[in-house]
Amino acid sequence: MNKKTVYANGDSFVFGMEILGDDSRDPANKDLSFVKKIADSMSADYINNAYNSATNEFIFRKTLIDLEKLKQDGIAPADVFVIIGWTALHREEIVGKYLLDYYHAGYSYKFKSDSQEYTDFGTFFISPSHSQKMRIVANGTVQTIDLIGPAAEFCSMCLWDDDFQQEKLETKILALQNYLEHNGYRYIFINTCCTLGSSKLINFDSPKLFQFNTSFFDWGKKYFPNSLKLKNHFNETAHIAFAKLVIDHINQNSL
Amino acid sequence: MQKKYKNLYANGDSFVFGMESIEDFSKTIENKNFAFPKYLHDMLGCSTYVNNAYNGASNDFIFRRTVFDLTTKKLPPEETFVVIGWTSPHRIDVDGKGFFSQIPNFIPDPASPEGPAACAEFKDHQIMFVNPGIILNFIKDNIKIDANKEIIEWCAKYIWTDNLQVPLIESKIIALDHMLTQLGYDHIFVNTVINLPYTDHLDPSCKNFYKIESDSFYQWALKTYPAEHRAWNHFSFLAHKSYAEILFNYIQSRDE
Repeated sequence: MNKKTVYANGDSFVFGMEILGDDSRDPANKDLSFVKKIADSMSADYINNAYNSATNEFIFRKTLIDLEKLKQDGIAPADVFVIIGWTALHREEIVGKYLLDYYHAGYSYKFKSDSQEYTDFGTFFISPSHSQKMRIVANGTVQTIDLIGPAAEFCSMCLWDDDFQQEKLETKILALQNYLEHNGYRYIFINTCCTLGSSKLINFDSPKLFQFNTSFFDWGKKYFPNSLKLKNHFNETAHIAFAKLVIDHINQNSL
Repeated sequence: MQKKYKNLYANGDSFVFGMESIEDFSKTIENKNFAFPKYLHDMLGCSTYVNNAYNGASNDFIFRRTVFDLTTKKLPPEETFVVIGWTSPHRIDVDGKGFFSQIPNFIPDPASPEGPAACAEFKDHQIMFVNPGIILNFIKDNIKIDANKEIIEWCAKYIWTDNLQVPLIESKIIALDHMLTQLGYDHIFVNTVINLPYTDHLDPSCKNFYKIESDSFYQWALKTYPAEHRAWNHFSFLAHKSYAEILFNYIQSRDE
């Protein structure tokens, strides 16, 4: 029998942000996230490609590209359990280069970002509620800039409409479900922090969409209010309890 | 022997719509009857033609509407052939309600001088398609909003780069190909504007992709039918008919 693999993608809740401490974005958080505990319950290898603040568009595209690569590497879909944490509707991924050049208008500058997506892809994830403070050293001067200002005003006007974004998310969920089923992957989708209206396309009662009318964040706030950290994530206690719920659901529904 | 279909469903941009297939500058709905999907519909012996393409459509819109249209299952998979024309990566559809809210009580009317015909998508879906070459200015009550200034500049700065857009289109092509197969729809994907030579993630040998990495309708027609090239960079019905024949032959050969 082949060794099983759990593949996870999603946002900071899947990443496990802040489990190690307030505002902690250390990748070591991934080893304490609820998805790691699900992987352990299956005695499976563990791939967690979540990014803090990831957009649904990013989660969709990275998952597809990663799973295609896994197939090419000879890992059979039947041996992989996929866990996707869909995130808030109003997020956007932007290219970082212009923004950084703009702030430095021709000066050479050194920039080291805490944002893993900038290191890996040269992009930043932005959202209405998160400030993205960046510390930049240029010509001996230290500057702190907030990415949210110049880029998010446009998003608020032209992109971050609830109905518009929900349609985008629903079609991604449907397409990814069909992709996974066509290839023979087992999977579960979790709503990490998204507020959804009623859907014309998605059956929220499907066992493969775990408690989709609510979210990990809402559940955690209700049952583990004392676990809440500085940047609105949860400590390991909440992750352990949430993992148990998901594991029981997977087993009860033979997912 | 070629399988028979009852329905042909098409989605895509202006090339799938058939813009200018009748004459220079023409964007009327009648152009759909001279677009390559219509000729393919005839060759496949279909009786129902559903062409939900829009002029200026973005890849994200094409993906969304196709998923939405085909999961409602109004067109039975076993009786339906699907044609998708993927367009230029550097396009966006924006929330029209938000953009037009800059002019109080303004609703663009495609029939009025204030609202260009490009806004069919606003009437139908409350969105607006924008690409780097489009000119969209709206003026009312001395308030002017300029899509070029407010949208194109933002997109050019923040999102219209190949290293961001190419993986986005690749993932949608992969997802939709698997989805249509899973649902039982026979289908073909073509490029309308530009080929995808730098694709890292698509399998060019997939039989559902027609020259996805090496050619596009536009590139092919420009080379093969230069005299049929229209004022706004589209092609006459002659080029569309010929392209449909190529696709029909390809579908026959791949299904043998």
